[in-house]
Amino acid sequence: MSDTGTVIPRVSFTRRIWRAIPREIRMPVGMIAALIALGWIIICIIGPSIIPYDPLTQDLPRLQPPSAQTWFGTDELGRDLFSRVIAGARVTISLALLLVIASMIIGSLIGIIAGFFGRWVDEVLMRMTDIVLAFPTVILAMVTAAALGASLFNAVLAALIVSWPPYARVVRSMVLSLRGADFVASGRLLGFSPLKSMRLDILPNVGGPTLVMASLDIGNAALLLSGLSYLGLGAKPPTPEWGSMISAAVNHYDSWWLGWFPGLAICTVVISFNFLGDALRDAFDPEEVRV
Amino acid sequence: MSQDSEQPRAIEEPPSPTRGRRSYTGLLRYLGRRLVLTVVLLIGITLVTFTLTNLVPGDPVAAAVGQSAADDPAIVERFRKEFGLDKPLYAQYFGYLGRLIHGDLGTSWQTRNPVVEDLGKAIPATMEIALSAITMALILGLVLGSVAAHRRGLISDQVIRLISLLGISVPTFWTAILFFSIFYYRLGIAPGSGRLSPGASAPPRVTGMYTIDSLIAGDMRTFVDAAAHLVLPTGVLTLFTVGLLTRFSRMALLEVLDKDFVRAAHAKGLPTRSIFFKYVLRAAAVPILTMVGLAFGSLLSGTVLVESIFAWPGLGSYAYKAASQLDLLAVMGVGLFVGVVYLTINLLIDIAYGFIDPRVKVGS
Repeated sequence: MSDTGTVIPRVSFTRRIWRAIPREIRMPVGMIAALIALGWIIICIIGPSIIPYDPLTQDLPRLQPPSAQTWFGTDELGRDLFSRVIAGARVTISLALLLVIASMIIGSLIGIIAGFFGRWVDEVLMRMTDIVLAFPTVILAMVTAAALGASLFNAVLAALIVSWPPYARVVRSMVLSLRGADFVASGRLLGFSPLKSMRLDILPNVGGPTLVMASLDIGNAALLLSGLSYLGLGAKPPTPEWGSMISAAVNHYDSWWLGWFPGLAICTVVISFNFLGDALRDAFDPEEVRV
Repeated sequence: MSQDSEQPRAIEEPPSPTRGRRSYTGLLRYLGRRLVLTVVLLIGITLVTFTLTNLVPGDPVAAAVGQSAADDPAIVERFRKEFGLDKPLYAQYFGYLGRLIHGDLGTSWQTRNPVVEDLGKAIPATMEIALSAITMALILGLVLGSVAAHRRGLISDQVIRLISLLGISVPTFWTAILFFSIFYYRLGIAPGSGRLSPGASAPPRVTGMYTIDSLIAGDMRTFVDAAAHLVLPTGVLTLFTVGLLTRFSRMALLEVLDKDFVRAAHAKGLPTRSIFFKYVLRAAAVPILTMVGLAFGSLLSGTVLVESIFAWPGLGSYAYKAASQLDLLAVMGVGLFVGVVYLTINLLIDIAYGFIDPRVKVGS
């Protein structure tokens, strides 16, 4: 639009990330995290076809410690724990991604509408956001999940209700600062409709930081979903889900492997995605994404 | 439109010489506006809970009386009458709000006790863990954050970063189980679940927090017992919170360390230690304090998962039982309480800004 330094430039998000990667990748910790995250995504895709046993069939001896045949041991119903942990990756990671994408879309839409239209629209939407933010996250998700009935899909819905507000807040504040920018005003002078202005001028500039925020949120989403399943409000029993596998371990403290392996699985997923998000944030722009 | 009008605004101009007389009318007006906002938010919380539990397919009556009793229309009828569920929804809701003004949170369907009474028992139990965890986490977080900020980019910074990311990435319910099975089940060095050993009687109630009450009563044996039971749940919650606070302190301190006045103090030859404690820490206190408030809120939420493992009879256990039974009034009670705490902390922090950082004028 103009090349004076004061204007917020339209720079493609992917290009900025691309430029930033080499510097970040040199950091050993970030590199390892990236590899682990990549490993989990691969497991997520091909996992079910490489596992040695069916994760649902209960035909092995019960509560056997890890051995050459069953690497992670067997659970209280005679199922292979390794197969269940691997199969659980698809459940947890794909649902966490679904949750993050959904809350990003809903939160950003609300934030854009609030910031763009201002006045009473802004007031109503932001008070709504405040209410959800003031409500204790786990408790609200718990009530929703309990009310909807325990199922994985309902757990995602319940988690969605508590996870959109931060996006709405951040996107709104970005829109507020963008709205006054010269290139947005010039768009308006060119006769852009609000929709066109949002699509052409606002969205491209809001998208990058929001994506970074979302990448930092994947770990949280996985934690919340597995927490709900742990409480018995998510995955139903035969489903290989890490949270519910851990809750089964509570009754068998002697069989340490029951809790350790699914727990380590959650940890490595959350840690690696958190590190990735962290590296992305550092690389992208530390100032812009701060909540 | 008022963008974030409820937030105190930082005023960039230098303080005027007349600033010594603080204007209290501004502060009062600000407090009034915040109070109205708080009430609106609390009503919103009740509305959200009420709508959720009524619009969704789950049947609270069946959840409360059990499936077999729910098939008997007479029992259902009696239950609905007892708890006013036979009235239209709007009447139920406004009836609740009306009683709420008098401090009556209704009766729990599950325990058949007034919700206020249940909360009175659960809150001190949770506060005992939450307060000790936030204190520990703040101390550890500040120390680790300062070290990381001073050695930015060095190996110790990286290690601390790893530890703090680990802290927020490990599911609390998993660490709780690990701690419990390692320190109690295997090593036997920590006491088991609950707030006191079986057979021990609770100290006479003053605050409801057993450690403090037993100290007041001068009962050292009960104090040691209560404190020992506190260690594991506190440890689990500290681990989670310390990650958050370390990351944030590091960020806040780094920002201040870059400022000109810090450089000037160094140039003047002041010892690093006194620069840190007198200037840097004080300037970074505002954002760190904000984060402590937020962390405390999420700590209260986090107790839900931890308490169930340690059989700790606090808010979290209560909320979990209430939510899984769709015990509407109990859930609203918990939601309101945590909401009040969260909003009050934020308000106190916003007011404290003015005292820590005189450039921030509340209510202007």
